[in-house]
Amino acid sequence: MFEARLLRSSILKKVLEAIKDLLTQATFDCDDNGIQLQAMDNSHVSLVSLTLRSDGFDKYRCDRNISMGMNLGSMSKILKCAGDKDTVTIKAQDNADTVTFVFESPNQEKVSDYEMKLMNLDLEHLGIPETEYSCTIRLPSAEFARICRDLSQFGESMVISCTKEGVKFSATGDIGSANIKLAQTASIDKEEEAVVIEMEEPVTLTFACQYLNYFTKATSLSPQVQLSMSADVPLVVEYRIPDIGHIRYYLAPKIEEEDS
Amino acid sequence: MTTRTKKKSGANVTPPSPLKKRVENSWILLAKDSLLENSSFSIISLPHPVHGKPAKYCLDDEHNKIYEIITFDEPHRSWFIGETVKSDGSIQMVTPVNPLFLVLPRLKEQCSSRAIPLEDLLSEKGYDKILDFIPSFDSVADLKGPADMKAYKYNEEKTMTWLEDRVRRLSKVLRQKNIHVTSGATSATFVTSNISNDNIDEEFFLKYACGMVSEYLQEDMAETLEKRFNFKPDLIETIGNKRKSEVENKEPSKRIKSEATDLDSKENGFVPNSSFNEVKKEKALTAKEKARQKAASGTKTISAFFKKK
Repeated sequence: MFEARLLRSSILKKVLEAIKDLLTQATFDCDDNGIQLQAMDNSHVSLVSLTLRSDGFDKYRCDRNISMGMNLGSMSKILKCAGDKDTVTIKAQDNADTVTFVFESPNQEKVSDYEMKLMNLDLEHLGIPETEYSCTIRLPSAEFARICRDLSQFGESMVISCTKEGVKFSATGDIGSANIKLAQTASIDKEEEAVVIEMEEPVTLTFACQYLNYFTKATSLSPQVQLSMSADVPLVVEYRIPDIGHIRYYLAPKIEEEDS
Repeated sequence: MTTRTKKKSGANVTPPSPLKKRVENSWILLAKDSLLENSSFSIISLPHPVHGKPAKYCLDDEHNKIYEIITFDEPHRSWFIGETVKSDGSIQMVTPVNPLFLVLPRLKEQCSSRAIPLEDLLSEKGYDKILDFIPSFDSVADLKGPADMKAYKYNEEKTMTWLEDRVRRLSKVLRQKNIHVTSGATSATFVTSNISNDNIDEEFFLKYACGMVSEYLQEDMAETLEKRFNFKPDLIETIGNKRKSEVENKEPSKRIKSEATDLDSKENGFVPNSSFNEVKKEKALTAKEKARQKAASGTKTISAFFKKK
């Protein structure tokens, strides 16, 4: 028997919004410690890793480890049926082929439950090595979303270059080029609005704008986003979800082709 | 098919067991002697390069060769094996096949717009087993990135040049072996001193060879290949009809073959439905997914960095 109860459905709704454009289906692995999701997008260039710790739930029970393959489009449709203030409970029997979502309104007057068929998905877990990154940049998530949106108008790929002066995002395309420089905030009044750069070595990498735009769908989950980069390894974009876990996106850098 | 079976030296590998049950579970396989010297050869299922359905292939790791297994079956036929009768009268034949043909559809599908490391490209559905049998991808693809990563990008021009070379080589063999390639019927055993293949136009051989090679290619590639040779239209008509009638003759045996492989694959725990689902899924590519694939071009695959658990 698996049962997980969240007081506010909005967290789950936002998580789904954050992944459903990138992934069509994914496996939720549930165990004693919480719910984990790891999946690559169809083109196999990015990886999503989601962790929701059991202590973040109002009630959490997982008798046996269970993996639930879900169609994220369908799951998102179901979660749209829940009000923001509703309590959501995810339930599944051991070895079940369906999962049930129960939504309860705050005054308990309305209870709705939705049953969804599970899918058998090929499990392909990747081991992500612990990496010491040369650069870590923390910035307000809305700022990052804005940068990605603005730069994607200029070109398909974005160069992120981190030096001791700060971090520079740039894109070049048919209409011209765009550069956005961010320097470390001098005085930290509000932690949420700060730009913090930790750098050991300067790094410059190129990424597909489109994918960064997909990642910024998670903006509403967290006021801050952390970018970690090292030469020739994937970029990590991490959103911490307050009190319950995090969502990490990994994106492989673009290959520099000689002829382009 | 008949032309190629001639090259084989026949050897019967059925275990001569008096037990009826064992006879029922056996099959008749014609194989080259060299294959039998290798006691550890294995038989695997791979998607057929043309229609994608599972077909059987035999791996000979000692001679580093891959053979395809072809089933020839006619109705109303059985085998006598020792004292018993085996009701299934089909013959399985192993014929060598260039492994590049088997991976070509996958390479074309996945690596047209970006380079993918071979290990990732050939990691599923049994392809990993044939990776070592392929000497080089250079004739059909371009190496991108560092050499040790072996990331290749499909190159149509190279592939077509390679296929053209295959066809020309095959047409030479056809001429040497005196294979009958023109329309109309002649007796295979009728030998005259003055009529030989020498006075037959080169193009007939090329056309015939092109047809044989096309049996391992997807339709669009076969068409492109045919265009490269620029065959005369009248030639296509006469020979084309011949090929077609041959295909029609082959039809029943092919169907039986696919049924047989389906049965086999069920035993191996392979559920055919899943492959159908996949085909369905690929068809339903939305505009959004296409945009994503486009955006992904030029990016390395993530599995190049993170190893599978």
